[in-house]
Amino acid sequence: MKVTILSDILEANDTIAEQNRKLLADHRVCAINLMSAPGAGKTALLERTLDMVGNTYRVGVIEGDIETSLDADRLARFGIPVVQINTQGACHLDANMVSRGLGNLPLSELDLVIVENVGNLVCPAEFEVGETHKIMLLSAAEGADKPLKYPLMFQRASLCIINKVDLVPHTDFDLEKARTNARKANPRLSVIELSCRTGEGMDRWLAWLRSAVEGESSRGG
Amino acid sequence: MHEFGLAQEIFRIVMAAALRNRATEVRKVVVVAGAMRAVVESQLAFHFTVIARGSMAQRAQLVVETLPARGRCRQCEAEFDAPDFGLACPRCGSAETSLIQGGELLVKEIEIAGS
Repeated sequence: MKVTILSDILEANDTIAEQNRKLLADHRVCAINLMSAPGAGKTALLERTLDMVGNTYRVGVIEGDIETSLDADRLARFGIPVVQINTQGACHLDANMVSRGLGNLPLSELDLVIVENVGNLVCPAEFEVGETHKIMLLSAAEGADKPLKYPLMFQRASLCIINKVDLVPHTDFDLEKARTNARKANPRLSVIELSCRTGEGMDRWLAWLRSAVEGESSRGG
Repeated sequence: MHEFGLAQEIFRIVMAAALRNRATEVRKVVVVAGAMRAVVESQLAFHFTVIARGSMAQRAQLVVETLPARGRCRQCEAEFDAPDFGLACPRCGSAETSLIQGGELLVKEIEIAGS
């Protein structure tokens, strides 16, 4: 006997993601889902950003890693609320894990939550977590072909940050081609090039982030 | 590699539907996946088998029907194939396009045997 189902495979996740989205909206908190391949510089970007944001607005972080709290330890010096989630094998954060993370953050005292996803260019793109924006971090060490190989990630993102631009002169990385490929996958994608090491381009990223945070805090008055 | 997480969700949906319909065995699972999802059928079927071991779905055959990616332009209203996932309008070049097919991820139907 055939039984028609037509159920969205990610429906259970998306339902929880909607609850997260509502919770964040109720607190007028902007949430960023930061995704990249391992080693592209997600934690370095967080450190640089937290250094420069200072007290301008209040930030909380959800750190996703398969194992260890090494990334959360790196952020300890900032004295901000950080929740470490170990996925214990899972290659991405799902909405349920982020829901638990949000439950451990003082949302009424925050303006921005940055979710650092597990380093992976495939699965994190598929799992909505209730974020305001998905940000895809690509590094100059990875190659300009990545947007074509991992189209979903680039398609879902609002912003693509190309990190480690200070390395470009030492590699075969074609910045123009990376930009073109990223916009091919997603014509509306914003692209910002920067280096967390030298600080070049950080001002453009902070301006983008500020307008994202202000966009949320002004919602509904 | 993302197939394992998907297989877990598929298994959950399949078992719920099978129990609702008083099945004793699940023989086939049909999944619909848009091309943008990059689902590899053999991988998904393998993971599903691993997860379904010991359940009434353990011998089920899992097949994937793939839908090609298609876009639609909001400027000139052209509809177009996007075989390499490029979503700029091939007719007028506009970036104001949306994906109208290719992002699907559904359990379409199952075949069951009942008591």
